[in-house]
Amino acid sequence: MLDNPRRGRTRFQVSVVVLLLLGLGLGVLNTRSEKVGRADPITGAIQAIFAPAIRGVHAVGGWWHREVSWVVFARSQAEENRRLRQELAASQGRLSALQEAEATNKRLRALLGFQPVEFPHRIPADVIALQALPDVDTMLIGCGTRHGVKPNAVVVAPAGVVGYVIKAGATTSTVLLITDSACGIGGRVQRPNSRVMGVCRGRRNGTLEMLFVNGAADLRAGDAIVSSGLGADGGIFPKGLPIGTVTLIDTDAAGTSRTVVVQPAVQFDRLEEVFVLQ
Amino acid sequence: MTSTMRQVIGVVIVMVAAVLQAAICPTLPWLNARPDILLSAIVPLCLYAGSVRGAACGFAAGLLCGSLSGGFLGTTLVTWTATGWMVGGLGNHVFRDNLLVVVGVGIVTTLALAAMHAVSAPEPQLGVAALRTLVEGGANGLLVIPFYLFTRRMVRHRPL
Repeated sequence: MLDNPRRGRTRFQVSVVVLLLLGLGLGVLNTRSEKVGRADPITGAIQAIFAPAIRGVHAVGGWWHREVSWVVFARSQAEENRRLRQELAASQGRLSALQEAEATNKRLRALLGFQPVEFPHRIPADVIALQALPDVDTMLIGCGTRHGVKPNAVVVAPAGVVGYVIKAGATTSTVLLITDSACGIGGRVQRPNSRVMGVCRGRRNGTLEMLFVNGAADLRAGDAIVSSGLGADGGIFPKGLPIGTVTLIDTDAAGTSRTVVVQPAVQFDRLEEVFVLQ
Repeated sequence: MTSTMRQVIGVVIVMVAAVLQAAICPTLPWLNARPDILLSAIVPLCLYAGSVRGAACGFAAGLLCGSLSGGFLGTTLVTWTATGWMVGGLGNHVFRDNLLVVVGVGIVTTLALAAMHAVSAPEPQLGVAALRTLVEGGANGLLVIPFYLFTRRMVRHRPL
């Protein structure tokens, strides 16, 4: 330990002041970069340095899952395989019907003079880190400005909406997940005779809450919720993306407002690849 | 083992813990609680390091955590530095190389860090957040044990 208490105290004070100033400087730098949706140089460098190591751990996990764990979970995987085959067969039938409906939709839109619906370009990206900080629902993905990713770009998975890019670095980007309380997305009930709208906001426990829903609105447990295209965050989410399914509806005693809990369509803990919409 | 060597190993532990936290991101089935590998790794390091080096250790952990998570870097740095300083201070006063103390400090640190985060970013559902934090505190208290045993073996009862 230190021999001179006065020198030790001075050293302590200097160290604390240096750390606080450094923290303040980095915080200001980060906030200024965040305003324009860019990763600051320090954060970007750390993400770029650590991304290969995190990918390495993912690769080991993937190898374990592919080569080893199937031996242990063979029975449950056989059951899952059988269930997936059944779902695939059912989906193929639905796909055929949907293709027919899409063609009809296009034809009718053209007849009525509506603009044709254009599907955005998708940039594939692997998930590097998911919810690294326990207090924020974010995700780090392995593509950035070099690949054409811009701030506020919407990120989706095959199952539905994942979130949107809040910071784009050169080779990595940070995505705010829809389960975070800072993320709001305009939602609408997909059922044709309902079409109730609200704002889906994360509850930070893996679920969403649909806000601003009238007490008398036609809403049922099991209803699918899709993005309305109106959006609470500047309407950045395109219309019709699956958000989730209503799991709980709790009406207050006066019957004027409801708490609607929505289970996200995406299983975030199983995400490996996502697409950034451009 | 020289003091510099021990510090280098300390830095490596923080970096490996940050990589594991980002890659594995463990989630418990209760209340979506997420144990914090990085926090569990720095608690024993700070206990052995004292308040000044503990604050530096917390700063480094906060920098990695804030950068890899994309959260508010400034807030994360301040809270983690304060946490490292606080745990280091506890190391100077209450830590007697005792496992139970380490587990207790792991739990208390989780609660303190969550409270500091709650001040800067209030939770929409306070009750659920409090319960989740308690579960996370318990998990971190258990997770801190292997890190403590490794750190103890590394420093051999000498300050970091």
